Amino acid sequence: MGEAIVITSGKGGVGKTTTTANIGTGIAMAGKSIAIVDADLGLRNLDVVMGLENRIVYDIVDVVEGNCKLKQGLIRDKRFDNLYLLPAAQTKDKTAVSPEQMKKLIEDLKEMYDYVIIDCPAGIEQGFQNAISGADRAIVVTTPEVSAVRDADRIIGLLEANELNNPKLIVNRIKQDMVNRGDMMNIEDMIEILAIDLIGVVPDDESIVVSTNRGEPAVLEENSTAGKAYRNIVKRIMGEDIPLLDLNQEEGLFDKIRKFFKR
Amino acid sequence: MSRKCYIIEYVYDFLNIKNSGGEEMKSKLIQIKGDNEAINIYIKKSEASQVLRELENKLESSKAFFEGAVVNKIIGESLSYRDMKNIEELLWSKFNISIKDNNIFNDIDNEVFEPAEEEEIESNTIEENEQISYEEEIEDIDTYQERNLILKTTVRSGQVIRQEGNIVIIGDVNPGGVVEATGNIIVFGSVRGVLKAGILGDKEAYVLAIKLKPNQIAIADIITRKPDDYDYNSNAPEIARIVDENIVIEEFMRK
Repeated sequence: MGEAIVITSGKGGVGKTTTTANIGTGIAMAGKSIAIVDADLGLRNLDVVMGLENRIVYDIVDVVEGNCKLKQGLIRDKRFDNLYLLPAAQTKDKTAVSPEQMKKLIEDLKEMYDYVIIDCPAGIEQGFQNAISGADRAIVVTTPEVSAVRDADRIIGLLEANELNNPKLIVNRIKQDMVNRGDMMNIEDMIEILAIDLIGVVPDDESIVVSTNRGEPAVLEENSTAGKAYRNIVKRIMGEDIPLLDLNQEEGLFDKIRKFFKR
Repeated sequence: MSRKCYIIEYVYDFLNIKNSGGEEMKSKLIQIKGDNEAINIYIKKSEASQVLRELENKLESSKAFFEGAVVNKIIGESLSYRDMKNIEELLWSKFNISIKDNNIFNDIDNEVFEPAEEEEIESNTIEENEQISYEEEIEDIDTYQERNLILKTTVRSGQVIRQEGNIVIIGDVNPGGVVEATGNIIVFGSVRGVLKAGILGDKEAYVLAIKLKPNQIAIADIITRKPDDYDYNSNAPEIARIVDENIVIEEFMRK
């Protein structure tokens, strides 16, 4: 019996889908069997980020409505044999699936895989209700912006109302030099507001944009700092105790030179 | 534009009914048809209360689709003005459907419905007969179209164009967009979405586009997808068709 984890945020554009793709791929790298489910019906993206768009024949609505078998709807990843994607439907909207159907689907997937990761759509409407209905755990993604933190707070409240207690926090796209200058919210501030456990901090990394556009999750890249952050998050999800990356060490040569002249 | 797509979708749904030859064929009291422009409702001679009940059931079964639609015409035999008003009231109050032209009531060509009705009275006639009569109806309704659809539009992500016959699209088909035809598909533009030709099994069907870079092509029951690490740019129009049970893409009008 596997475990279902929903990745959510409330606000759009904070990196839920990228996080889902990277955590999913990371778990597969660690040798566990995993299915990732795109619950963002009508605005499907996860398949593009995973580079699997051209393999889609059936989608989640086909599975739920019984037009095809669950196995037929699942797309095997091109890099890992133990990683599967259940894509969202693009021609339907969120109402095409009910929370009960979703719950049943996730139960079935949990029988088959060690982990089930659900990519939640933005917002708090039915899409969100669907996405969380089968989940055992939740991970909240936020960026160091007031609006994203505000929405994350709302989402944490809703998760707790739906008995998904102790959600974990990922702070995405942090720019350590801006935090050091005092121009960006720091992690302590966010944890103080949200009062949940931090499971990882992902630095703002240009290579994420490149890897997302190419359909290859950054977690695969050995040298990428974001990739390293995701690998650590995966280890923490799987129960290991890993210290947070010290982002201050990651500054480039340019920063060092600039600092030198500032003195 | 989206409304138009939906309507076309409904033509296809109707095709399905025809092909399955199933239950829906038997209840022909009410027929809802969409041609390329609008939805028409055809009602056969019957008790007004029965018509209302049947219509309500029928619309209820696909409420999401009809919600807020505009019906072009209601064409019914032997319906009084009061019956029509009742129907209009039902459509408006329960399904938010408005009627564009409610003046044309009794102008349906009787020949369209009479033969089918006779068969129903005989009951248990062979399905084939019913299908033939249905086909005649369709031809009666849109002869000038000859089941070719020409659309000047961009098919965007999430939009589905379905059509019995051939489709010509003047515009692009973006990723996530789907075009499905029982016949051929021709696109004067770039294709990056999904094209399905010959969806009812026509292996002679082809797909032709100025710039053919689709994520998937399906012809009849054969599906191919774009290779992962293969980026080929052709400057010429290309055609995809079945050769020896494989879908083959080659330059169109190769010298």
